[in-house]
Amino acid sequence: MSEQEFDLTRGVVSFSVKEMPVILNNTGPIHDVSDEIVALRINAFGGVNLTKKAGALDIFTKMLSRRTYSYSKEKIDEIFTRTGASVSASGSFESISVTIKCLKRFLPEVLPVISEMIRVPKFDPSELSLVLKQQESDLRSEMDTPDSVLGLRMHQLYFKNHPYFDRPSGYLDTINQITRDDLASLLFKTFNRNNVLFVLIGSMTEAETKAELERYFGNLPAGNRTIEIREQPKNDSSKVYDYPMKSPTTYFMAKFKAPSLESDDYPALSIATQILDNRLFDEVRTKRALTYSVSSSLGNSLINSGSLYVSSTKLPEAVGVIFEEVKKMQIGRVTQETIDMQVNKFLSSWFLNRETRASQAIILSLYEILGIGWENSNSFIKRLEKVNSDQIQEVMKKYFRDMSYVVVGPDVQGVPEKLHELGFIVQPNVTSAEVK
Amino acid sequence: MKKISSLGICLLLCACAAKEKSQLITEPEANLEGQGLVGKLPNEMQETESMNTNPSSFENHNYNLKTLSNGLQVYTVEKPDIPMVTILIAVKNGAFVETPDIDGLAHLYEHMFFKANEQVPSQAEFIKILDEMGVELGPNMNAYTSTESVRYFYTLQSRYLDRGIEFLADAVKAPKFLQDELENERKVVIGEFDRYEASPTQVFYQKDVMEKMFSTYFTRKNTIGSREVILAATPEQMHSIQHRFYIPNNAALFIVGAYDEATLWPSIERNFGTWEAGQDPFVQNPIPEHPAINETQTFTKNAEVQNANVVQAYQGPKQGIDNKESISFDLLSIMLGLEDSAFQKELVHSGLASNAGFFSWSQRYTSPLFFNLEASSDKAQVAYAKMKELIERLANGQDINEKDFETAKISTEVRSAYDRESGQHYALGLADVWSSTGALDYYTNYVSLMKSITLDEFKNSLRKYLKDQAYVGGALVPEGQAPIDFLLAQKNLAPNQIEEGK
Repeated sequence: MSEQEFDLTRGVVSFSVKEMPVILNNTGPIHDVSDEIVALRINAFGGVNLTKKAGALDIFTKMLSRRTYSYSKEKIDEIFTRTGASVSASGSFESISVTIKCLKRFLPEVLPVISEMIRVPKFDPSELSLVLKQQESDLRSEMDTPDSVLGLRMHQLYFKNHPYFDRPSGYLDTINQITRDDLASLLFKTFNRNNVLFVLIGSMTEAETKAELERYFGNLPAGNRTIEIREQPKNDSSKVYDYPMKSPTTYFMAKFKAPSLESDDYPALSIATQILDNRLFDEVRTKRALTYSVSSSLGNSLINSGSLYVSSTKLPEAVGVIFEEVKKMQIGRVTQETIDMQVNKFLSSWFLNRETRASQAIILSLYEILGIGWENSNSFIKRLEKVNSDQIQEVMKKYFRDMSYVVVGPDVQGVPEKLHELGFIVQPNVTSAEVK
Repeated sequence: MKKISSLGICLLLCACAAKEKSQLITEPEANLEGQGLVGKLPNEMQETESMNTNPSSFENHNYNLKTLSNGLQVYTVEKPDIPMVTILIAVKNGAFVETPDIDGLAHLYEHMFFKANEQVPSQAEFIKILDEMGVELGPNMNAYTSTESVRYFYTLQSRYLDRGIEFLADAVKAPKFLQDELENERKVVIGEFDRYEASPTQVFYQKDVMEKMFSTYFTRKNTIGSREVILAATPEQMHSIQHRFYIPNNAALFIVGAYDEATLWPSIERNFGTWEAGQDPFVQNPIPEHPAINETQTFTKNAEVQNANVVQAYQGPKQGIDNKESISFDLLSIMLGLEDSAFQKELVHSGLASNAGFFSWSQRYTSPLFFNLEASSDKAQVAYAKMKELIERLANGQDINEKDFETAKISTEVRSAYDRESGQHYALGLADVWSSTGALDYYTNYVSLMKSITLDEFKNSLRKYLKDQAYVGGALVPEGQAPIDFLLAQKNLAPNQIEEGK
């Protein structure tokens, strides 16, 4: 079976229920699984742009299952546990989603709860206080390991003065400003008829789906569609930001601006990043044994980025090898055979990512949230197949530059000099900061 | 919507050799909360994968088992939903076979699997062949070493099945353990060690607590091993492990996915049929049972952490032997996570702890049972006292009701359907149970056995392992904070049962 034969969008239909867009894939049964699994993803457009308070998104999604008009949190939990329903709610930079995976036979028990969660959550003050304390605890724990500190500091540096600085999980000094009114305001902006998208995968007919969605979500209020942020951050690529921390090894990350999924450059950059990732594994880990973990990666957000990562006790040497490999790909050419092999690997991942109903729901949702359209969710491999070596070289030059650099750990010595020597920063400057 | 227990993550951490993916996602793909294969930060992949150790409980398993003449058990599960197939080999090796002189070598061996063998001259060539089969290290191929299993797998397009079987057979049958490759890989494993030691919470649970729980044979629970042993490892030691454990009568092959039956078996016979059987490694060197904890031990460790973690850990049942009891503790972990449970209400809803839970890590050689909580420094002492009281109540059969018991049973049964949606996930789960118990009976009989457990039997299990039993009490607290006063908390116990600070 080829990609063409295995078509995710085959059988997918879209329609609306009370003006709300719905995407449905009425799949057949899963082989060897006697009970029918259904995945439903309810997406609300807009993320961090919905609120000016960092952390409100996380608190909002956590509070949805804490109490509703007719269900206590204990009852909600009991229903989800007993029915085996896997329910997760999360807020990202670009959307808020509630994802439900459960057996079809339990939908009549689960959907009424979900319906109340997104329509009439209570935002009980005592629960809010508890959730805020738990969030505070989680945010404190973030400072325990260098890896999470690295992620945090890079985020703060890269998105300084950008709306994405206010990340969904917030910061210790912002979460306690979040009030019940903030959550109520978020509810109105997110889960309204003009701002939601339903994606359902499972053995459900169109008529069944329409009836269920209308019954449980048909009375969502009308509202406005949230407009997404498109502005790229203006990152500081002039120096290395150093956060000293006691640790056996030092952690490094470089982050660069990248095009989003719909861009013509995205397929070439995907392949280039993957080729680089393989080279780094070979050069930094296998040949030189400088690390256990090294990678090059690319995201898939609207405001997209890619990153280079390594942890090492010989960081300058490891960083030097990484950026020499970047340079090699900027100067030299990769063969078509190498590109074809990468495309084949993407094809393997492509299949795997379509194996479960929940992952299919996520993919179709993402194409809609990014504004590309679910109909195009099958085209990724075809786009990759058109990439040639000229394009690989071009995207390496175009995007692997003007990066932000963060080091966390005991030893930044030699890293700025190495980056300067290879032409990635103008001056070998370091800005040190204590981790708070 | 519940937070995944950080304790579960810390304990189930398996060492993975192939590649730790730190990358963001390069194509829209599944990234469900708590289920994503590829996380945004390093470590997440191995952690999330490892969370699935409870067996699937479907009773109508449609797997086939054939045993080759050399003793290799081959399990096949047809799953034609996508044109992909997972090939996995599990070997009964891991920390449980390790004495102090080879502490960590099962894990180092797993790293060396990805290097030169009689048919593939180098690791570079090894990776090139994977490239040619469309296998990306990380999501499509990896390996895990745990206390009682080593599993190697890849998921590839079905058209490469024959080549994939041959490739795996070459790697498992005839590794070379070249000196230069070993020297390099020792450093890589030490890099993994460094990363582990950068997490105070992981070190606390995996080493500090486990070392006290299994003090006689701690190396048999210590997958990551010892730095000194890893740094001194030789090719001879690798070959010794190979000859002792990497034999077909100590391994099982799992094929899960879309395959053609007619070509599958000739390929397996051709490639694995020539693998030479050896002596059962456990006849000559039987694995000793872990001695019971004789007396309660408590300790407090200060570290650069922001919150306090407190654990009370017991030795539990043996998977594959005390099956009803093992399952009872699986049920308990669900029951204590219920928002309506006394455990959540009195610890978390009360604001004493930010998280609290129970985790049973099913093992053939004694399953550890952990009650744990996370709290702010100022509340840790009071929270611990409350947790201790709750454990005592459980041991006395209190706070347990029929409704919660049945809810946990139904939940377990229903969720098992999800296990088989992903072929790779399914293969890993099957192999995990096989490694600990030598068969899939525990897996296939799980639901029927679970259903047969009565509430009285359940309470008896709790009583047997918790009531008046010695335990390890441990606390990880921020620098400068006073130790948790375990003594004060357990003033109702006889003084000779307490050994403060040992």
